[in-house]
Amino acid sequence: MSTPFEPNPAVAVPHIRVREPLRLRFTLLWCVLLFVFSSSFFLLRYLESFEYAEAVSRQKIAKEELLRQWLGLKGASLRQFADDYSQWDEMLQFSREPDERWARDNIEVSLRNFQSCGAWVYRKDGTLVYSIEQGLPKDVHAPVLTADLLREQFTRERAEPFFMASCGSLFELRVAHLRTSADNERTGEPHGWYVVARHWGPEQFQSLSVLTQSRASIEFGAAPPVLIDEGERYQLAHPLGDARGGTVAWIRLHCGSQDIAGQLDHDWVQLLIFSSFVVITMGIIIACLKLWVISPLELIGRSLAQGDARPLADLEDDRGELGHVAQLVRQSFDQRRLLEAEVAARRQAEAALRQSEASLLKSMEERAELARNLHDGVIQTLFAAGMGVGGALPLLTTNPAEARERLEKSRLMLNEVIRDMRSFLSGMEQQEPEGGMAGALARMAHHMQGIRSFTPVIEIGELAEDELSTEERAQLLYISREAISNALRHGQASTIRFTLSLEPSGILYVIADDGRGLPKDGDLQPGHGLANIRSRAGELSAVLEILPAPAHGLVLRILIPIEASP
Amino acid sequence: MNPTAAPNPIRVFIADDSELVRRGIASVLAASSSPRIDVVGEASTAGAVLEGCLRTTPDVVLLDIRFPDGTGLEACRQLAQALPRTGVIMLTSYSNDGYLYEAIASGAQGYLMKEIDPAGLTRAVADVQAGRSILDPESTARVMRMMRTQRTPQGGGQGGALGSLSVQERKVLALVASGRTNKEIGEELGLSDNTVKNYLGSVFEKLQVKRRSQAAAIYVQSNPSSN
Repeated sequence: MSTPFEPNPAVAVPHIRVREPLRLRFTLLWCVLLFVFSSSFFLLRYLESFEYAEAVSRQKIAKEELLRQWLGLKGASLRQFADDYSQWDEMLQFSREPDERWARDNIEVSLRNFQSCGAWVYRKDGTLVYSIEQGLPKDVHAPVLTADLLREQFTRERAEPFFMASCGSLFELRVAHLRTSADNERTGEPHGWYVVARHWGPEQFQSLSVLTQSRASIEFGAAPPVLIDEGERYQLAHPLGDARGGTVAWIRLHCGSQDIAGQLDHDWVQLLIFSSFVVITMGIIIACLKLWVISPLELIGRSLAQGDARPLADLEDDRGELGHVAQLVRQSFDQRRLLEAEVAARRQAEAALRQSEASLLKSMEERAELARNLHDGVIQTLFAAGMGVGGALPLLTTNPAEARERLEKSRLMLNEVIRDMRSFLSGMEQQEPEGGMAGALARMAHHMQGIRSFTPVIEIGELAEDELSTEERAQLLYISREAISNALRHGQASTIRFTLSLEPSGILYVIADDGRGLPKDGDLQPGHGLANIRSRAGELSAVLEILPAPAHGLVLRILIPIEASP
Repeated sequence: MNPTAAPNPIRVFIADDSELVRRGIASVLAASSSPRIDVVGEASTAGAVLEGCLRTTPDVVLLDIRFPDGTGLEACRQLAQALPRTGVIMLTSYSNDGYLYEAIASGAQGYLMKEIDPAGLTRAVADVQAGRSILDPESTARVMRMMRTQRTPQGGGQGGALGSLSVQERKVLALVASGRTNKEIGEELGLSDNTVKNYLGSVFEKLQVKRRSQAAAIYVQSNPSSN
């Protein structure tokens, strides 16, 4: 037989294995994202501080430059004042013949314009011709240059102003040679010196403070001052040179780059806002992923792993894609069940087919055997019987006695054939009643319900029954019939119990009813029933006891002894 | 009704679907003279039995088991209800235990094989008419003998004991010795209950015992190592 459908369990439903749970993978992904984000955050932070340091140093340079330029600018007016006035023929004239009026009109009034506090005119021999001081605080006097100093230091033209300290105040001074206006190249022999000075009070630093956005202060002394440098708070210093090339004092600038610090703080806040935004976004994404994707997928995964669609019940109501997947999974389970049931049914059918084929083969063999036996035995005997009958015919008139004998012999032969046939047929009948005592008793009780309705209780031990011969069973059934009849007709019983069991002493059959029991006189009078039962029991070589039941009713105990050995 | 005093012939009703059998039985009964027997009616179907008997009120009914339209057992039950004084003898070719038990359960007074000899048949009819049951102790033994001698024993005596058993019989006996019931043996060997019983009957005859326990004892004694 070819089977059109060969079930292959390995192909029927693929087994799905997840190497790592989805949740773990997403957690890892989240960690990686967090790591990348935080490292970029710190990198950004590092770069920013670097940039900040650079900005600060740039600012330092810029401020130093500003300071220098401011100093240059400051000194420019003083230089102009000195240079312009010193190369003036009237001034030359004034140094030779001092004129109070001229000095008042030309020098004194100009001091203010050039933000100067004093001016001095010396002749070539070092004689102070004229000096004036103006606008100085009380007790503060400008330093006076001695003729020696002038001769020592200022024999040649010097472009730069220089500083001197006097009375605790700082003065900027400019010394210019007196020349004729024709000496444009300023190379000719000087005729004297013109000195101007400016007092450096606090008001002088105002413009510097505004310009550099720093507070400025003066430190006297040649040694460079100790400067603070703490990131955005730092100090700058610039030396102020004296006439001899040394340093008389330092300008110290107290800088606090609030702008950069503010920007940095601002950046921090921005970064924090950005970070919290990123964290919140990631959290929301994770929550949504978990709610919408991971949890349903885990359900599906669990369902697949367990081979059970029950966890998907809720998910199936979802109208989204995963709901469809859940339905698909459930359907696949259903199909798998169907398929398995079908495969099982098919296997069962195949087994049944094989069995029936085998039994067919067997019954065909049996048929052949039967035919052989019929041929060898039955037909031969039938022939013999037929011949016997044939032989008897002519004897019917001549020798009736002989004919009768032969016919009788033929009849016996035919009976033998019948027995042979019966043995062949034994077990071949389709609907033979099953030979069990329990069934026969049940049917008997059913048939006898017509006399009176009662409940039979039948307990037949199988081994005990097997031990009984056909005759013993027939007799016990007959006894049962008598007993039922008695119990119903005379005892009015409503329940009758039949028990067959194998005891050490033999086979015990007990019929117990709940009727009225024996009549009062105790005799076994009622009907032929009990007498018949007694004689049948005797025939079985059984021991019969007729007892009143514990409550009421009657008990028949029949013990058929078994000999241990034949 | 005293049979010895009454010269009245016994009224018999014959129910069998084969006319030949009915005629044969009728001729056998008619030939009887010591109890005179009248065949008062016949039926060829199970359905006609009750009606015929109600009409003719026979003393004894000879009833086949198999009819084209039903079973004699059903007819027997109807008769036991409708005519309790009428005796019923099942006259059949079935030697199956089940039918015997069923006949007793259905209220039959007797169970005879059709191959009974004419004298036996008339005696059975007379017994039942007299109110005795063919399953009375003495007649039962006769019937049972008839049912049991289906096959004549081949092996003689107990000397060969197990040697005379066929392979299948030995198998059955071995299982009996191991304490199995007939049903279990049938399931194990793939046989019907009846077949197992037949094998056992044959075993009992060959070993000349009456009981399973005895057969099992012989088996164990002479074959202790066998399974």
